[in-house]
Amino acid sequence: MALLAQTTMLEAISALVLLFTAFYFIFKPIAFKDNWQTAMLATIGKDLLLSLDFSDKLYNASFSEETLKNFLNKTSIVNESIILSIYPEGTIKESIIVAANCTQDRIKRFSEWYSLLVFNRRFINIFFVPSNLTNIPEYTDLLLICNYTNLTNYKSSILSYLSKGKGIIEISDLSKIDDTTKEIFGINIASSSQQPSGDINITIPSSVYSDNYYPYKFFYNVPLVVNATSLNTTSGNFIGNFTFRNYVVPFEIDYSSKKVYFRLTSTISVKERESFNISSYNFTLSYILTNSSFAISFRKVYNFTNFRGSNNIILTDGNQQRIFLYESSSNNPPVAVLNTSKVAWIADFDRYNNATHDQKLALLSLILTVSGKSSYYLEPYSAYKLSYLGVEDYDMYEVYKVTLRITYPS
Amino acid sequence: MKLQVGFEQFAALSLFVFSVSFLISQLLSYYPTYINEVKRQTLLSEAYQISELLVNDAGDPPEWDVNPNQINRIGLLNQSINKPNVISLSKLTYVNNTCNANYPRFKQLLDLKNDINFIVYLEGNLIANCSHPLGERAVKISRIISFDNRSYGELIIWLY
Repeated sequence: MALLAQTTMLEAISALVLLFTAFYFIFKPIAFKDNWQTAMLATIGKDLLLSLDFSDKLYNASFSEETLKNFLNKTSIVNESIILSIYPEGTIKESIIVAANCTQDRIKRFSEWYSLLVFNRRFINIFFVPSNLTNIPEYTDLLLICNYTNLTNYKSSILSYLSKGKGIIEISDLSKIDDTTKEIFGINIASSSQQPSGDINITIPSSVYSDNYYPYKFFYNVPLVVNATSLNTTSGNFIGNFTFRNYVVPFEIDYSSKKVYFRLTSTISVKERESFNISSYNFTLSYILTNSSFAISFRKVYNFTNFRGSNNIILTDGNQQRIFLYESSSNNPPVAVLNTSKVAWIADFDRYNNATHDQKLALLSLILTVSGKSSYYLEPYSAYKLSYLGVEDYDMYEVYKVTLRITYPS
Repeated sequence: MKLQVGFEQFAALSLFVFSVSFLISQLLSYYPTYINEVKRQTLLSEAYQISELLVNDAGDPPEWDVNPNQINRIGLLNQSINKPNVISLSKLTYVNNTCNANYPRFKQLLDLKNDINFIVYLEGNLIANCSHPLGERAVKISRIISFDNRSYGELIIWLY
């Protein structure tokens, strides 16, 4: 009898356990899952990009965290716990680092020439760091080689550098050439030499896919910053020389009235964004930056005074669309050549330390062409990403992609 | 023997009653939570739809702000610029005045069954405010918007 009662109790307890186990699975704690948080992020992101674009703040907000912060400060998003960032893609980076295989003296000169760059109302910094050809720093965007160097022993490090999407420029006079230089730059020395004669012209690209399209576009659109060299104690304005071809044009910056006076045979007074010409060459005064610097754009059609020197270069593949600059003479010898838009050679225009502003702009156009356009950004984990295409054309027509990353703190 | 049978029956009955009570209590406790959640989800969807209608639709007729007497439905999009999220300041002024002066008319123009409050900021400054004391706020939708004078701001809607 006792055994029977024990069995019944056991059955009852088992039934209770089974019943509550079943209840536990049927009546789980209530947890509603929806995607409203993601939907809200997507809506905020889309609205933000549209409003930034319509209020003409998208371009600046893409490059400047301060502009974005100022925009958000006038909305309630600033009070929400949202992590938000905007990055541009496919456009010239805000800082370009050049690995320079050059003497300290030349690196110093390059740094002075390109201490500041401004276009489409944003500033770009170009930094030059010394480098050898064996260990090219990975954080750099392009390698600048000054003077001819036999590249045979550096072929693997240079090809490895190029394979990471970075570029190479050589500024040199070539009286001899090695096989690696031939292969990388796609150039050779002509069998017959020709004395320099005639001006140097800029090749008009046949299409946007031509290697010479970007240097051509940059040369005619990117303003070059010209710095004053001394102070006119009488007027209190900074003065200097603007040099192109064989012209040395004295200028005086009247910052208070936002004008620059160019004094050749007669004085030309130019305001910001105003076009003018000197000796039939067209320019635009793009920006008056400070009381001692302004930025000037060269306009079509421009040609240089000959700076080919002793270079007698020919192309290895005959593709004329690789030529950026050529001498206007019988064989049109190239003076600046690209190869696959990532590699460029230019004759050493600064061989006598007398580079003019037009020549500096030619090298700058090549630097901007071959430098990589992709940047590395630290992405917050599981951020919602929205892409948007924008266009800016204050100085130069520039199509860029903006990626907005938005997430809640994890 | 009889006592033993009686105890078993009593235990089984107790178990049954307890189980049924537990089941009913669980169902009763789940019901309002589910109902509230369904209501919240519906309100969120409706609030988003209303915000889309206000921000990205010009209304009917699109140029209703020229002749507000012939208005069928309101929308704040500037029909001349016709870009997403760009709203007309003149339409916003009319909507703000109507909402404050004649709230039922405003609800009718949006074909709304729920009650609504909204505020609009232009670069941090309050430029439209139609807020009524409507009790506990249910759902809130905030939209970043642009105005036809190239400034930007924010539209916040509460739906009850």
